[in-house]
Amino acid sequence: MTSSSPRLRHPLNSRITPGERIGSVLLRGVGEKKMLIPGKGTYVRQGNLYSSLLGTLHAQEDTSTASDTTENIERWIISIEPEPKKILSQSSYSANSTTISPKIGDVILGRVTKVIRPTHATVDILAIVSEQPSTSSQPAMTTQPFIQPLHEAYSGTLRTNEIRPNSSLDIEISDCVRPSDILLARIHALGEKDYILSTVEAELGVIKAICESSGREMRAVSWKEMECVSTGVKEARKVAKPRVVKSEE
Amino acid sequence: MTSLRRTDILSLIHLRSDGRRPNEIRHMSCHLGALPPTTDCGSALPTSGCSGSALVSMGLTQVLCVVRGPCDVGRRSEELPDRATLEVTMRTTPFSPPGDRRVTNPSTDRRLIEQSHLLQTALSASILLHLFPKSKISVAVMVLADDGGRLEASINAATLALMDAGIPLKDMVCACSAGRWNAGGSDEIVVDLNRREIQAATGSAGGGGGAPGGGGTSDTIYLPVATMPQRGTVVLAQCESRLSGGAEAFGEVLEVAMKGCQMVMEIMAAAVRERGAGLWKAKEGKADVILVD
Repeated sequence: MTSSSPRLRHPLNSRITPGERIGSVLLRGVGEKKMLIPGKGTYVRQGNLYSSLLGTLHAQEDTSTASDTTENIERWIISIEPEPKKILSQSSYSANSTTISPKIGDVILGRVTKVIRPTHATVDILAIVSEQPSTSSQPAMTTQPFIQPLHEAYSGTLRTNEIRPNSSLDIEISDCVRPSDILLARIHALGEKDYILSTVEAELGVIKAICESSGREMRAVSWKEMECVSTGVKEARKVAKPRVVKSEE
Repeated sequence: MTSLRRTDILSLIHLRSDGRRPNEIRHMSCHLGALPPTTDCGSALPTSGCSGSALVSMGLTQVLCVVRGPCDVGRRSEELPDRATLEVTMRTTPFSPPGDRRVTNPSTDRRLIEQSHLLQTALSASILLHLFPKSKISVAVMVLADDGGRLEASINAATLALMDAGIPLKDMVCACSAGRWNAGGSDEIVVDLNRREIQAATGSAGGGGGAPGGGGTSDTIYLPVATMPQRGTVVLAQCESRLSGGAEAFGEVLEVAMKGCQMVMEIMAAAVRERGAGLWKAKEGKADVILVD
């Protein structure tokens, strides 16, 4: 089915500002009918298609839905592509980092921002840690980076009963995490507003902490303690078991 | 009689104090993407997390607008389940008002609160807020220089900044003011008032029942109007004066203001197209990228 693109009020690839009328939803030409489907950056009002973004006009024929009607109605998806912004901005803005957001089941890297003592701690989710490809079933390594930083920090909550495997109520939360700790956690559920995190697995927990007395980085000495490298002061944490990071072949 | 002042001569030949004709708007310039987009939301700079910006000057009034978002709502109480929250803050710089050089606090200054509220109402008529539930779009307006009409300039700047940020709008919201006062013995309807004209238009009417300053009992109006010109909708019309002429007198001024909005829209659309043409050339490698100006 060879067909010409629909006749719109503006030429294709022309610059469109928000609110401009692009055309009627049902175009009747000579012996043919064309139907316009609102795509990205457009909306329909009173039988007309309008633009809602600043960008260039594109039209693509929709062949996915077979026209089951007897009449030949060509379906065209009209969309507005926003202008290339990255040319002007010279920041390290990567397009794909804006699209990813944490999902349930993901392992994340976060920073503890607040410890509210008996019940929970709030965590800024900074990056998603891709799961290791399983040992034998997938020999081909994925090209995904191991740590995907997020465009902006998402907020998460780590509750007391989701810190250690044998959840008991008498866990003291400040013996597990403290503010400014960097931790690995799994997204357990979606809360009302934020993500509910869990560190019950052995490989999840605090991976980096700063000593309160000296301000130096601490080193894990056991599954529940970390030691300051300079003063030797020990602080209690829920320490993550070191992960076996496979290097790419 | 004393010698004629400059303004008297101008009014005799039907020109306004800055030399414009009654139906002329001030020189307007628009600059989209005045600030580079940044991703860092954490820093304390007002431009952090900026996803779109615009600098608009209408005559001597200059306004910078920065749009952030759609992003996470900070407080849960502000979150709306079906649409995005639109947060508008208007600030002034210490050097912007010509008279007093105080820094006005945007959270306490009543005029700024009122104008941010008006701006918020006008913009939410156009932004397709339902596309981003549970998130926030924040619009920060900084008045760099104020020669009257900072609300109109702010609306125009906010529209351009939202377009720059790629936030879907039903239509461009364009604002322009119109006013009427008694000048040189005859009523005159003018478009896009500057500070001096606003004072002339509101000074006698807004005096709280005092004696009219201009002499006579003419209706003096200052009417900022925001419209969506392509669909002919008025989204904002703010009239604070008492009119004896009734709805007709108001309608005349409103019509002039809407014509002004149409002119503003043409300028804005031209500025946007011009910038876009440059961007596309740059993408195809036909032009050098000039970052600012």
